[in-house]
Amino acid sequence: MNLKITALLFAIFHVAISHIALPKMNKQDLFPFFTWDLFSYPEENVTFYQIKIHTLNENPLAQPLLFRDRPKSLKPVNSRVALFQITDFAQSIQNSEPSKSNLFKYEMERNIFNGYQKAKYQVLKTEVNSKDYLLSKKIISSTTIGFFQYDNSNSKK
Amino acid sequence: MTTQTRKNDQLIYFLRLYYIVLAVIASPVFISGWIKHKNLVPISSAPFTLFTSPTQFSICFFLLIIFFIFTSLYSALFPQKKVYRILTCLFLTINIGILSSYGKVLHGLHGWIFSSFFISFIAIQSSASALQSYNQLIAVKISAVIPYHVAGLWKVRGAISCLNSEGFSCLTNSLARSIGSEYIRNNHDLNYISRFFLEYSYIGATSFFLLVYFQVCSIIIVFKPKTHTLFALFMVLFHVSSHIILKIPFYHQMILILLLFFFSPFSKRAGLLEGTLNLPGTHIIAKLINSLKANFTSTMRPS
Repeated sequence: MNLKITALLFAIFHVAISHIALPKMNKQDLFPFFTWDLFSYPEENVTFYQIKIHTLNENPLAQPLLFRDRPKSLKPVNSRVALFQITDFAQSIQNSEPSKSNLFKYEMERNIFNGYQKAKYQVLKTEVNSKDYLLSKKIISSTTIGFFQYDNSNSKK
Repeated sequence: MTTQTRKNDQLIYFLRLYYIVLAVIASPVFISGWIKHKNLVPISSAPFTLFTSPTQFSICFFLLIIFFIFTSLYSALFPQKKVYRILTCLFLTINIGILSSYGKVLHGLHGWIFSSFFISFIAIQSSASALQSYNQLIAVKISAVIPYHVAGLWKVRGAISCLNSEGFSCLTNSLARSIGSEYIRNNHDLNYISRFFLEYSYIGATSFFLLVYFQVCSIIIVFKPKTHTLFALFMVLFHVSSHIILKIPFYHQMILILLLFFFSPFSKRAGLLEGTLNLPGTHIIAKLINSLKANFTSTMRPS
């Protein structure tokens, strides 16, 4: 088949995957296909997930640490990816998907608690007006999704 | 030297340039990704459950990166060999797939995956006519703009539901909301420029409408060579400004567009005005103006 026609058919196929299949599957990507739903309808209020750390290596912290505040005591492998892992983990808990949440928890924890053996933390769902939050850190609401423990002491070789 | 041979040589030079640029921009992404993630098997992605230890995974990932560098450079040296071009596409796809398996999709290189797939099947024949080579490059260009086209269609859908529910103001506030959601999602700090656009979002509204137009029409633009320079420059402007304002570095895609729409052989260099008058939609207005001009001069001509 003509390469030009193939490319056009591929473009149509990609549009169908991104606009019909992926939203139906409630997925952002099916590699190498991506939804490309980027800023199509940005809303005024934004909901995001964050974690608040209460203990590190069994030492209670004087002030709980918010991961988003980039505490110096944490050295995540990839802090940007960690934000997406927190979202994946929190959403899988909210959707009651235990098998997924176990995997996401494992991947998130080994990234965020890199260098630590144990930690206790809280997952929060926060709603903000994006402009107000960025300009003055004002929050509309924040609810706890759950309290969790990280324990890597047994898996240490 | 015949025109045919010259066109064929141009195509070979272009393929060389394509694979050198690909190796130069993708290898650092893979190597830095390997350094960061070499000890972390992405267990939530099914194919990686095959690896029982991080060392196995680390070695395998490292070898895949080496294979990619080798095949891409080999394709640059010998672009006539289709098998190396296909292997480059394969290793590129696998490596991007691995780095996209940690919770954040590495979509900045998706345009390169699609274009490297179609570029793999370009036939370099001395007997091929200039038109055949041109048509083959059209396929590569279509594959490179697919991300824009799909994103543009999403923005049209978003704009329709936005107009229905909130009215026109939500479109003029779109930039501020985009800054808001992106900065919160990625935990960025505001700088002077993003703070300015957050507070005076309507200033960016025109560029938003222009962007949607260029994105939706990108596939039609591929078939209009006179608009390619304008399209490439607009996309460069878009990616640079979205990096400054939204902190979205999308330079890999920008380089691909420059390569295919600005430095590619067979492209017809046209000025920005000529490019604008050839854009989908505006070419009708240009035709109308020309016919009105012709009518006017014919009526004014003394009989």
